[in-house]
Amino acid sequence: MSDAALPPTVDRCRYLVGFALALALTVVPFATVYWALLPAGAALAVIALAAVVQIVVQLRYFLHIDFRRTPRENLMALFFAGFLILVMVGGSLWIMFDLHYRHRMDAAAVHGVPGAYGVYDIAEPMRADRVSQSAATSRISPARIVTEPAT
Amino acid sequence: MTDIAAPSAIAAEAADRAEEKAFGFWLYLMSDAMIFALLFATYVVMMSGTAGGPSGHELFSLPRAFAETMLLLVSSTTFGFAALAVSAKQRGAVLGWLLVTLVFGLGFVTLELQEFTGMIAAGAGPDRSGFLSAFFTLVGTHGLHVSFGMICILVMVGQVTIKGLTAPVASRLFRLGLFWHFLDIVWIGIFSVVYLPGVLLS
Repeated sequence: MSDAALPPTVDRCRYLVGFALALALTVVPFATVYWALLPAGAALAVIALAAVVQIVVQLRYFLHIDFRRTPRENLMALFFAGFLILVMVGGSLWIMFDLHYRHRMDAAAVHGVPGAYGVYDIAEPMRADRVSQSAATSRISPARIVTEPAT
Repeated sequence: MTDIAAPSAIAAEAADRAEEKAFGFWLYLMSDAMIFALLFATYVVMMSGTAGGPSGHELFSLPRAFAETMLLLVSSTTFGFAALAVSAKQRGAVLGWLLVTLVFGLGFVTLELQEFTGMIAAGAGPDRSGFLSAFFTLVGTHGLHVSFGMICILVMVGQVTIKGLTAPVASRLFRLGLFWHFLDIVWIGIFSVVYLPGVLLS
């Protein structure tokens, strides 16, 4: 976007190019998953790559983001929002999955089974009590807790 | 003093005001993007929290999610055609493309409601597990945005019909277009974070 109107270079052709690119970038990950063309890890990489490229395509062809014509303050807002999103989403995932890992180790300490309870298994009542109780009466040495593999 | 009466000065001032409004709306879209980003983060954290209930692998229909993606993508393109018609001052074409956009948006919301009611009827409502709470919050928030966008399209159809393509109407249509294209981008995220990995990973 440049101002409160379409840039003069925008025509029907531009929208159709954007549509064709977005269509291709949707069909590729869909086909990859629907017909199981790749192993899970590679398929996730294809999905992530197609999504990022498609977001750029849509910003370029539908929202008309252009480094020369788009006003500087709009670009600043866009990049600042992108930065905040990276920090907040990346930070949230980092902390929550680290917490998940630690809870699994606690579960291993209580029950001797690694990963017996995920952090999300709230249905297990009084978890905190059992964990603190177990710290006093645990059969398992602290060394075992540390070396317990996280699965 | 004499400048005030000059039509070019008035037009320039109107363009400035429209640009300010577009910037304000752009800031709103960026903050909305952050809301969605955090709903995405919540969803990814809660993904494995099925509490013994159904997982995405059992619940999601990839062909339906693909159809929803296509409906939104086509509607985004047809809104672009409406914006071109605004620039060309073709009132009939603007109304036509807006209505086409509305039909595709309606198709999208219908498919989504069908999915939601089917899941709730099968006992997989938002109260079933943390995973499903996060799913309904994320996808439902997007669906509400699309529904609100459709109401706005209807309002703009009314304004174009009654007021014609005046400068304020054109500027509102421009901002509504930003909103609509933005929602398509958010949906790409939902398709790529919720549905594709949900079906892929059992």
